Amino acid sequence: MGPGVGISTGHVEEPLAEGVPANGETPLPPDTANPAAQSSEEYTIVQPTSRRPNKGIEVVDDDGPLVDTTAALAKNSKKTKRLQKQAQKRQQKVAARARPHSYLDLPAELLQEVLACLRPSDLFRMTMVNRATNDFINLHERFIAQDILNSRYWILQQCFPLPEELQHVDVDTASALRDPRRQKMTEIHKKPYQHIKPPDSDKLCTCPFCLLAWNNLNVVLDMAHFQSSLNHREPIPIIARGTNPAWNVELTEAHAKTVERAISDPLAYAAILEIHLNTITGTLLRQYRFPPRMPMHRHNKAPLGKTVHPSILYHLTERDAAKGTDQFLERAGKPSYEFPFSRDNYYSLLAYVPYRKWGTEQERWIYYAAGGHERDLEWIRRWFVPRQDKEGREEPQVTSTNSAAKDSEKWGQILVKPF
Amino acid sequence: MSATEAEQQVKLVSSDNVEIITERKVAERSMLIKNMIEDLGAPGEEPIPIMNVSEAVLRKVLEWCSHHKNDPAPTQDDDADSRKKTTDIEDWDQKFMQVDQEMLFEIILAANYMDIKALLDVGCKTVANMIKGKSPEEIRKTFNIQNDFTPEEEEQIRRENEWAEDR
Repeated sequence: MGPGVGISTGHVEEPLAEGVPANGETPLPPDTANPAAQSSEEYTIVQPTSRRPNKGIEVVDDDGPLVDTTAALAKNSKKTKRLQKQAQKRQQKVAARARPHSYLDLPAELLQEVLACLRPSDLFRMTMVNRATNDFINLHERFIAQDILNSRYWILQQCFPLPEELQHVDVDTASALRDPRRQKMTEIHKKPYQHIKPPDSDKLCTCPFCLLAWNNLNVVLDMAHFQSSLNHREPIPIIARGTNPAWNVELTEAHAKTVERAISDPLAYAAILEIHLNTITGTLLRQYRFPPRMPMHRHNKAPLGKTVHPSILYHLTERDAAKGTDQFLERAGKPSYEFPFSRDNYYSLLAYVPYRKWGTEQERWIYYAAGGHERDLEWIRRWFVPRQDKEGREEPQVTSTNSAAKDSEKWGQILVKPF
Repeated sequence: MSATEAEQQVKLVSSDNVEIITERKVAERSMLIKNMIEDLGAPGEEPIPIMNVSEAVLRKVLEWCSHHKNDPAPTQDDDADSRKKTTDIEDWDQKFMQVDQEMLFEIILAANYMDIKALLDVGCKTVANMIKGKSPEEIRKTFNIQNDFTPEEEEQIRRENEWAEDR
């Protein structure tokens, strides 16, 4: 009801009977014999009222809050029933479709989380399951690999940095790196090694840092290759000086190819670190005799001999090895300053973990590989980028071949010492 | 949260419209429910709808929450530092996750929806353990997956990746 509208109810009387004065004088008593005369009709008068009640008149609002008590009409027809049935079926279908039956039905971010719990070798095996899995892993490889590197190989990724591609080095520095004089100086890192194929200087940066990074990753793969020989106490084949048999060429080329792949493929890089972690745990546990009831490490299936080392480096246990993470390398141990320059070093090498030293004050390992590439490029720019003389002619930074030779000697030392 | 608040009862409604009453402390293992209770401000009075989780899964999730109701809440550092992630699963959790695959995946989805990080981790690790160390054929068998590679394609992928085989 809108404001200003009043409703009153009452009765309207039937028209008066004949002979009754219509002047409004004393009305006659109602004719009791005539029922029509008694009948009355309810009516409603809608009349305007003022917004404000008259002064002195108290208005009591008895209306409570409006409540909508309208209920939906119950539909009951064949059409309604048919529609309801269809809707129910549709809902069941959607529910059935939404239920995941395999890991492939999980949302991408959850599947990524599942895959990040695996080891790189498991992921490579998974790429062979079917196309959908293969596509998913290839598409999300970078993120999955990063999660794996951070959770499993936190230490190893700091100790085994990747060499940089030459395309990421600026033009001037790249030409300085390929300077014939400089290339000759780097031969110290190439010629003596039978177990490492030198990097392609047209593809990769050959600053001392990158050269050592390349060598480290190659040596890790080479060391892993000969683990089965070491596990079975078989000697590593010796290559006569000055010769390079076909099997060795093939082996070092395969390793070089893998490292090249790892530079652009983070999952391959993680796989190299996994291989090296297996080498370390296998080597350390190989020299330990377990009580017979303890679960054996997979590298120790052969009958064990005497304990060579009474205490194991990093206090590694079977449990640590089974975890498949490099966390045990955080414990105090022996630093690896010497590069395994020959396969003969593999016999006595317990754990090759370069680019770190034990901080006695801090009582933790200090990692120093970060920034090495930039430092070395800066050094190369200073010595090999030609500068212009007063007449605008280019002249090399290094004029004395002796000083370059001295630096060449120094490199060999720098590469195995902490910065 | 005071002791009386923790013992308060909250009413959850599953996607199939079943009401489940549980302790507030148990329900608040889910960050989704915790935030809802904080926003609503009157726990126990208003039923909390858990739209994407069916009754069976919700009961299972609440069983896990009930067992872990006294676990310390993870700090932000724990979440950010993937180094602190362990690969181990507690014995009780291992037994809890011994369910059929559909239920396992539904628990993972529910844990993600209800924002229960620890349960999500356990679920993901359980699936990962089902994959670990298995050959492609065994993985297919475990998850009932059809091999849609041609033999040549399969051989090519195998050759590309054989260097990374566990050694």
